[in-house]
Amino acid sequence: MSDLLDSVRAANPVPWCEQPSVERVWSKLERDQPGAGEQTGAGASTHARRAARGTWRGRVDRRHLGSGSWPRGPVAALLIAAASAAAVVLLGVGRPSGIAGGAWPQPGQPSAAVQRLVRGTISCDFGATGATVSVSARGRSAIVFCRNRYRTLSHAGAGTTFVACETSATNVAVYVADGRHRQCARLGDRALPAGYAAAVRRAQPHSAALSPADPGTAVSI
Amino acid sequence: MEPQSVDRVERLFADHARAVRAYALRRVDPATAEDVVSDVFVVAFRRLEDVPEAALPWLLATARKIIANYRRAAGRREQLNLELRSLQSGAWSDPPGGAGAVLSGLARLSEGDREVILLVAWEELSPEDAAEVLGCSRAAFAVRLHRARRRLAAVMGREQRSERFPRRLSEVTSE
Repeated sequence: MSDLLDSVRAANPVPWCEQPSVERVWSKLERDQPGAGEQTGAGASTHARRAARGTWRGRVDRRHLGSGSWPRGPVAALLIAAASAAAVVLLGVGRPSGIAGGAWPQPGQPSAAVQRLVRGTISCDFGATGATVSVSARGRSAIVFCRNRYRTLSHAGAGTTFVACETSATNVAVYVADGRHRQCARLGDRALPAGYAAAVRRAQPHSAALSPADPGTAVSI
Repeated sequence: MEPQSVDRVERLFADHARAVRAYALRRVDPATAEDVVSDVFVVAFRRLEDVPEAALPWLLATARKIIANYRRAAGRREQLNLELRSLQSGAWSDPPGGAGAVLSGLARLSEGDREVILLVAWEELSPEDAAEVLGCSRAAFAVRLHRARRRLAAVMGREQRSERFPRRLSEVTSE
């Protein structure tokens, strides 16, 4: 009988295989987010919470820098300079017509539609509870920006959930979540495209290095 | 979800993704296998508190259910296509030397019998772990394994007999 099992073992058609990429898991989590493209706070998807707490950046830091802390001194200056240069390329800063002009030179980069959203505008629509704020996105996460603005406007931010939706080709609107599915569709908007969160994540460190304290330009309040 | 949860999923992935992928590749076509792998770890991420410290049996059990879901969702006709694809483009299409009879015998077993044997022979799980994948006790697994091996031997024996007979017949007719 053991000979039989040995012959089955010998017939194994996949005795070894390569390690798959974990990025597929994170992309799938992004795609599988119900309703809106991005949520944070109570009731939000685990992936969104993970992104909101900066674990993506933590992960990148550990991989590329060897530890979770930012290096000091000349190395930091060099890295910031490199990040700034990368931001100029990635975000097309100072090059308004760069959206479709090869600003994302590598294959597998976000689609043109996602790029437009990442470089477009963010509207924080707090409905009856407060003002509407519109700013230039500059690669920032719409949810993170609006949550901070929500706190700034003295609303009770802790535990509040937000939903980000695509209102036009170049604008992401953020609403206070009502806790029901398909809020974007019910508001007449679309859920954010699948690659949006990844594109923001990719652009955000460069954007922060370029102008860490820039609050954005308020268009209307 | 805490950042350490993300770290744990990444550790799980680093430790077990290859085994999960191999498990899937042995059962479905390569494209579906990739989806199965990511689905397994998405489930693990969402149900991290359910994942035991020795995670491989849990992950393989999840992969097994996900593959079953794929097959159910594909419907009967699509299931046939899925199986054909896995046979044509997957690992089964190019068996190691002399393995054709074994694979053919395995293909003739019921899915349950086949899974019992493959968990031990291909996934190289211990009886305890294999029992956990199938959600049964170790004693029940031992009985199932014994019966599955007996059935495989019987199927392969029948195949060998049926192969020999026409050969002799052709020898007779060619003389």
